[in-house]
Amino acid sequence: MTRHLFLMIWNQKRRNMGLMLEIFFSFMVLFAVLTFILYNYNHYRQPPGFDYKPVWALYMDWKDAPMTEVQNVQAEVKRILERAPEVAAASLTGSMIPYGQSTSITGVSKGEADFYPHIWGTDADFPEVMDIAILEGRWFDRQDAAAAHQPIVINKTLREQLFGDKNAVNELITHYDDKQLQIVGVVGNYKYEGEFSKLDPGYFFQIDTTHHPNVMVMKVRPSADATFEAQLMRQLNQLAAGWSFELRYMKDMRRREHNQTLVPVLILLIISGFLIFNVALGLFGVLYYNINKRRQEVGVRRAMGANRGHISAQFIGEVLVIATFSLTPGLFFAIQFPLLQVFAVPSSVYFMAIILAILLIYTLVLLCSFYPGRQAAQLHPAVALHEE
Amino acid sequence: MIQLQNIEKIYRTRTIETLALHNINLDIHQGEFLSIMGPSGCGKSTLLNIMGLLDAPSGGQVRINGEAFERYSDKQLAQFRNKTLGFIFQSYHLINDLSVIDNVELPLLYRSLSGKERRRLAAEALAKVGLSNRVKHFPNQLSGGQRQRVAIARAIVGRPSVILADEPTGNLDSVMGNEVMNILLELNKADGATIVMVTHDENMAKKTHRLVRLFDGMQVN
Repeated sequence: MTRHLFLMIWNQKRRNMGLMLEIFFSFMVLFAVLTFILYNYNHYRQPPGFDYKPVWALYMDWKDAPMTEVQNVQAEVKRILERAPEVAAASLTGSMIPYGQSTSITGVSKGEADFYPHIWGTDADFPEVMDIAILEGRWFDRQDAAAAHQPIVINKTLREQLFGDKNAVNELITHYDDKQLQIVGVVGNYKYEGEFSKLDPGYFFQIDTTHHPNVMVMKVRPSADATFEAQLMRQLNQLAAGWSFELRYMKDMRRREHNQTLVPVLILLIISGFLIFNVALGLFGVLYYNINKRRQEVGVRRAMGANRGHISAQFIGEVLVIATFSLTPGLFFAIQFPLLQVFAVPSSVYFMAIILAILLIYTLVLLCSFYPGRQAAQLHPAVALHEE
Repeated sequence: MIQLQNIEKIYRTRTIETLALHNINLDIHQGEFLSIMGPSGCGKSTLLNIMGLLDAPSGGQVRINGEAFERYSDKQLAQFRNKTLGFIFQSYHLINDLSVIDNVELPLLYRSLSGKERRRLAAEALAKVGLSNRVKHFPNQLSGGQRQRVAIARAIVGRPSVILADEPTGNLDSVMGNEVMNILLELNKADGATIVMVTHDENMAKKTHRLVRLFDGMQVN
């Protein structure tokens, strides 16, 4: 029977070419969308490595104020925040904070090998504000300012790149300007570009005025409300009249960041949904046309001994074969992505996307052919035989 | 072999009731070649459909090989048709997307036979109708007579005990019609197949064992 189904479709291949192309393109689009979704979902499943919920970010713009004033004002701002009962901890940092939409990458080397980690300048209080767990060693502190080598805290990904599973604490690596950096600690994940971002390598260093420390992040207590916010802003404006301050909630920043990932996914989903809807319409159309055109054939098959189930299976089977003919070249093209590693996407993501896309196409085909197949089976054989 | 007792067939719409067959009684014996004649619309094809279990009578009883079918399910009827009955149609009803041999194999698809066995039986049936050299051809590459021979091969491939032919020579010229008729006569004579043939052609009907005439849905002889 399978051979018969393949034979029927093979002999009708020109007639079914349009539908086959439609299924082929739908498969390719579905494969792309699913790869994109799975890729992001795999990242999303990895914990971000910090707690964004109780964190506010105070952006400071000191216009043309001299650096000495900047240092003094920032120290005073931190003192104000630390004194406030609504604030649990505060930390001075640069704009490369979680969901801050700023990135900085540098070059380091270990032996002959070069690496390009992300860098995040912070002060000693950053792990407390962001609730970052230190896996090995320690965070840098104020005394490290006088250390012979600049202390850094690397993340797990960079540690794996540099040392594999060996110890990293107290090891030295070389910055691209030949400065030696000493690893004092290791933290886990730090997905500062959002939960959908991948686990990039990176390290924290102690920030100073040369690195434009323009953000004060603070971990607030539940008592921090709009009144506190207004009072704080008033206080800050009195402290530095020429500056401008902007307070952002990290959960809002996260939402904005996520939208940048989710909106393209949504657009792709709409496009693929539209394509799939078209395929479904096409399938319905072709099947109804087929059944009407092949009523006599249904009568003949019934006369030859086919029961209703056989007729239904014939039409459903033919559409499954059409789908198989369409998916075969689709599979050939899709499989090139993991084989050739076209993008930096793990092969497992591609394979999962291929399997899901195939399952979705077959499910769609089954759903669309079920009702027309049943209708064909209901044709009265004696009537069908005498139809022209 | 085939017994029809008081067969009635009424087609009903909301407003009209049409009596297609009325009080048909027929007893067809094994190995008999029976022809049914009558003007267009007299109920010949309806009667053949009822004998072929493609349509149910409104009244009366059909028995084939002693079996009655009132309580048969769709599956059982299909199985019975597949094993016992072979059909030949006026306009051949071949599937144009299938080659000659694949068309002939069609009834065997609904039996649990291996592909090889199906191929062998189909080739044998085609040899019987003299079309061994056309197995790979498609129906639209054949003449009308050849197509009808393919249809005969398809009807006999499953070795049914009854062949029901609905105007098998109706679309053919006299030469080809005779050719087809000779094959049917040969099948009846050599294989002992019971054949019921609907025809408009008096000459063809004369070649059969018995002629039944219908007029306005009633048996007239």
